[in-house]
Amino acid sequence: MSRIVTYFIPCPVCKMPSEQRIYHSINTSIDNAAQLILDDKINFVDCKLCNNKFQVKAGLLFNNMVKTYAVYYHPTTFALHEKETVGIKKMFGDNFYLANATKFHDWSDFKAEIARKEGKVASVNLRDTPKKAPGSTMKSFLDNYWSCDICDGNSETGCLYFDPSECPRTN
Amino acid sequence: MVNFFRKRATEKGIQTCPHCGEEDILFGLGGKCLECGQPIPRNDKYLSLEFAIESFTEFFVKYDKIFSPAQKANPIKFLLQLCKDYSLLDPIPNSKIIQLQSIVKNVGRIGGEEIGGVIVMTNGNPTLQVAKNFNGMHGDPIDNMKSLGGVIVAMQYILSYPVKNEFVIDTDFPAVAKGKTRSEPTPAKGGCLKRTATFFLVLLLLSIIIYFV
Repeated sequence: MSRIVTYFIPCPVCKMPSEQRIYHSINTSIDNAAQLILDDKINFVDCKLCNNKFQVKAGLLFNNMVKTYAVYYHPTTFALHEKETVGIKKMFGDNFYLANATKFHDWSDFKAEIARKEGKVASVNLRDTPKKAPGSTMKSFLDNYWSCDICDGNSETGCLYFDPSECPRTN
Repeated sequence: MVNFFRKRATEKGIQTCPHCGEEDILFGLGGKCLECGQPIPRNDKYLSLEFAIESFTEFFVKYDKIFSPAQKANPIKFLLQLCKDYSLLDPIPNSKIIQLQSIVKNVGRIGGEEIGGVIVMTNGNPTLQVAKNFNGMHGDPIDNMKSLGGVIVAMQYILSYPVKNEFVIDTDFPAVAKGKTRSEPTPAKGGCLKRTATFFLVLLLLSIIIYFV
């Protein structure tokens, strides 16, 4: 189940309010849910009048029931999520994954965490990233980036298989 | 309305026009002196926004005769809350300014004969339509024109205030204007049990009818 709320949201450019469906939670029962988040297709809306694309920053819980992890994003506060977490802990115990979601205020960090857990590369929003001087290490970092869905390792952590020499991927 | 401008401008630090020496009751919003029309220095951006919001709210609440009290209720609630909640120490969030700009831009027509005219939003810009019937006007006509001019400048200032290209919803279950919460199950993949059952049911009914006929 995904929680979707319909709002009348004014466009920051033309100021015309329009009805928009905003996700407050999304899970992997929706096809490519993680990829949709990584591609900035969740809670990014297009103004029907002026075609301006803008982000609606709202609390969003990403729940991967298969890999049993959850990541939460909210631009300003975690208070509401923490209130919900109390109820979840009462029902399912302190160690239940939904009660221990990793929380982020920053959308890029939220996406990076999902990309890390899913073993994917998040799309980089050029408007959000500071401009780098020519010859920056960003491109080389992305070129050399890898992640493994067997051991959850990536180019930063290295292979996390209990004995890297026996890793099924390299063998 | 002129007295309101003067009072609010004095509270925020009124300046005198360097050309004619008159007090600038519009707090430098339009960049021009209301008396002599000469350029005047603008004030702090945020203080000016506060002044513009207070002026627009005052006009909308007290002098507008076009909107009915029921139509006004929601925008006025939002505007008064904005005036009450925020100060220099707690600046107005980007999304509130966008909502405010949306109200101002979509206001259509505000004013009335008593104040001497109507402000009409034309292609996103406020313009003045002076009342034809001066008999209905209350107070000094010059003061009324200054008031309407001041409100137009305030509206222009609000509309041109820079905002980020994003909208923040603070809570998880807010009511910005309309909140319909809906939990959506994933659409069923494949599966035609319902349709098959309906088909056989119809077939059975038809067989029974044919049998009896």
